[in-house]
Amino acid sequence: MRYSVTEENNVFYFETETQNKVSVEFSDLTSVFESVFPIYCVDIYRSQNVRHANELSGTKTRDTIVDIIKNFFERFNCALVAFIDTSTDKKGRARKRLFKSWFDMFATNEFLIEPREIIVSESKSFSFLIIRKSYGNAATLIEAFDTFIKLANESEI
Amino acid sequence: MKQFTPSEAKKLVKDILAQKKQKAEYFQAKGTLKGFAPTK
Repeated sequence: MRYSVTEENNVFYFETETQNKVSVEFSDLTSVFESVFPIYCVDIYRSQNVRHANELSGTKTRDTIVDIIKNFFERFNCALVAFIDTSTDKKGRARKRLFKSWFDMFATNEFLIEPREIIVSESKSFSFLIIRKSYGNAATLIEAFDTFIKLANESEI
Repeated sequence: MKQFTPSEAKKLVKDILAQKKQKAEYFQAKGTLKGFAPTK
């Protein structure tokens, strides 16, 4: 079961039966990283309904988001990065676990998902790199991502 | 691939997370990301 999805400029929207709105946005970071291989950042936003009611179905939201991301991979030969924000509440670790568990369900054969901790302003956030295992340059991309995270995590002098 | 300095890498991550926060607030308020303009 999936929700009906609309798309506008690489932003995908759907609404749950409890009127929570969800968007999945893909931002092109290829030029920012000066990469020859396309790199997109995926972000998931959710606007809570006024009743603060969660979805009735346990998997429909998950399955819809995973489908959106898989379809994006079908459309673009790219790497995805994701950054999990922990500054707004204390749910960052739970979001990281949720995100990874969703991908572990379908990604183990086809995709590599590389989680990394990242320290921002002395607080711990989380990042992921998601790539197809079949990419010839997968190892190079993981190495570049690790180098970037290592630099970002260096202590300020 | 760009050869980041540590300060450039930190700034990029901070900027991405700051914009995520703004977008989350905008989306909660508007229910769409259409028309989003980041404020510095």
